[in-house]
Amino acid sequence: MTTTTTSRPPFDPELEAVLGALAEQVPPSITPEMIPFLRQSPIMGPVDELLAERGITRRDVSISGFQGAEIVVSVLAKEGRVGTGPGIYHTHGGGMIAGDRFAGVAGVAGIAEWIDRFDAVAVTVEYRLAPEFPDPFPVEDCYAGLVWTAEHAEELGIDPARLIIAGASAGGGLAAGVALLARDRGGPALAGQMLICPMLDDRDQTISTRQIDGVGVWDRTSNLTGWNALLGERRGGDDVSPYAAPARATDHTGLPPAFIDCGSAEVFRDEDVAYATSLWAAGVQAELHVWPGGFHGFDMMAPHAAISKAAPEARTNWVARIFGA
Amino acid sequence: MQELVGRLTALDPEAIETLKVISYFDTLLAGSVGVETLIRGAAVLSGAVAGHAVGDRLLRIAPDGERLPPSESADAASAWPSRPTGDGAFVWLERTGPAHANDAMVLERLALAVSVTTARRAPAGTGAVELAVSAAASADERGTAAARLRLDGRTVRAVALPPSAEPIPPGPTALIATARGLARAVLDADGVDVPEGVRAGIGTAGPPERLPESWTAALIALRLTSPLRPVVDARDLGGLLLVAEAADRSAEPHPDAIALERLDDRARAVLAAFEATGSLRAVAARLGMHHSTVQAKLDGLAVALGYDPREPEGRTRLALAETLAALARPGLGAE
Repeated sequence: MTTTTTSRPPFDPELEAVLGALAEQVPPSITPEMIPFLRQSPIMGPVDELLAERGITRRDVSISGFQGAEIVVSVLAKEGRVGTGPGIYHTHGGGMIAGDRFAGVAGVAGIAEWIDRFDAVAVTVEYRLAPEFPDPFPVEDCYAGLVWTAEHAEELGIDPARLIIAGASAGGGLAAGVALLARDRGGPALAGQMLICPMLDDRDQTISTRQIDGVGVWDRTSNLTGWNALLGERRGGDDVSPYAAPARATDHTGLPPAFIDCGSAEVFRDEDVAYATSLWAAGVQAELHVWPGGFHGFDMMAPHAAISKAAPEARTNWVARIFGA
Repeated sequence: MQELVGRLTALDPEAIETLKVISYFDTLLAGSVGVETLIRGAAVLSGAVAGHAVGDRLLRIAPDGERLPPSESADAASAWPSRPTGDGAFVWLERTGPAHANDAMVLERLALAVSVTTARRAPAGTGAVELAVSAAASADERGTAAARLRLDGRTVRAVALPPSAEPIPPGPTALIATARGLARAVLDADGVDVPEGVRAGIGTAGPPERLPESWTAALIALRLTSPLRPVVDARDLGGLLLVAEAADRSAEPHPDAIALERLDDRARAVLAAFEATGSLRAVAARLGMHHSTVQAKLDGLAVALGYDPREPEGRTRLALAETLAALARPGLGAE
């Protein structure tokens, strides 16, 4: 019936049904005026409850972020944990413009399950958000948190040989950027990078960004809102570093093994697939899942759906192999 | 962004509206999902365990989408609010405490969807009505289906009804998933009457091989029904059928339809009365207004619409706009 839309892979029917039911609550297009609304919902209360339900304790530590400013990280571990085990350094999502360090920690697809299952210690960082703190604040704050984590590994009970970085969406892009920074600065060694539907490319040139325009979740307009907040007028130009937009990286050698996933009906599909391809080309191990009919963040929005059960299982499975669990 | 979504939303069974329940199951049906996915949908939408029993085979799914151990017996399961899905099979909702507002609707749409899915997957012979009206089926498949339904060589028309219509007129019948939601098809070769109180669209008459066209016309006719005109026969639509087909090919409603939908109820009432009677005095009498008020109202409407409904051409344009506006509404006609 429509004649103007670029054809795109159909949404998984179960996801499409949820999208229909939530259409008013989840507009496909996020514009800059909506940033304050995205930030307003309180998150601390329920997070503490959710952590307590899983027997996870939280310790907040002030550390030195980019240019020495104070930022906060939370250390999460099972109550009464002793000894040394794997570590997870987490960079949260939210389009570079919203979210906090607990976003994604307690959810279904979150890392609370890995803390539990692998007796891991997680460190999650409150990096400063764009547009108030544009690039390089977010990625440099995230890098500072990784350095702190590695330096305090012994005290935290983390085996430095089994420390991974993980993030979803913008957090996935930041995780990839931090992994590039760590390699280039001779920083902490990472055992793996878990890039969940990562936001990697500021250039808005892919087929998938044209396909997901005004439909689904985190469409082309939303994505431009995020990148413009982070990069301002530099977005899409020559003056963007691979640490801000890892799709810009030209050298992928020596990066940690990667897990990358996305949906076939999301803006990030093509840049995520391309990143995996670049890693393989450089001899880096990577596992790639493109879930058919998935929109951005489908497993958070429709956790009951069949493919929403499969996606986190695949992630946990990879983490288990990386940790040698 | 993923986390934003997780934070903003969670399907809240208390907040889901009736229309969303209907479109949820319609979307699943359009995607040809299996019965388990339909049951999972009911569990999510209701926030209660949902189940399906076929003989001794029992399936139960929790609101988080996880499969649960089967209940002790079909008898125990049927003690919950339940609805039949054909051949002794049934679906149920394990609501503890007071029923939620949407429980009945969830159960009804689940039962309809499970019936359709079961029929689609049944061995050849049971899906004959769906095949006979399907433009996607080959002419051979349709011919075989018509023969099985003993319609070959007869003049037949498809009748479209809302999925929950009762009583169903006689004739081979099936629930069919259409692009606009579920509808019941009845194939009529005997010229039966539509029962009182049932909304229906009657398709064009012809040989069985033209049933897909008849079904398309029946669905358009059903969309043009209204409380005042519960039965619309495609035969009476004349050239409007062609207009309707053209309108459906466009993504946007026609500007005349949009202009009409922008009017308030009072203005719509004046227009409707004028369309029905064609005279200022009759409108004034019917609506209890002074005829000079009606005159002024129609003057204003001529400006708002961009044409004068009192002129002969304006009347035709208005009638067409009414049809286009009705066709632009989602679903299969107003209840």
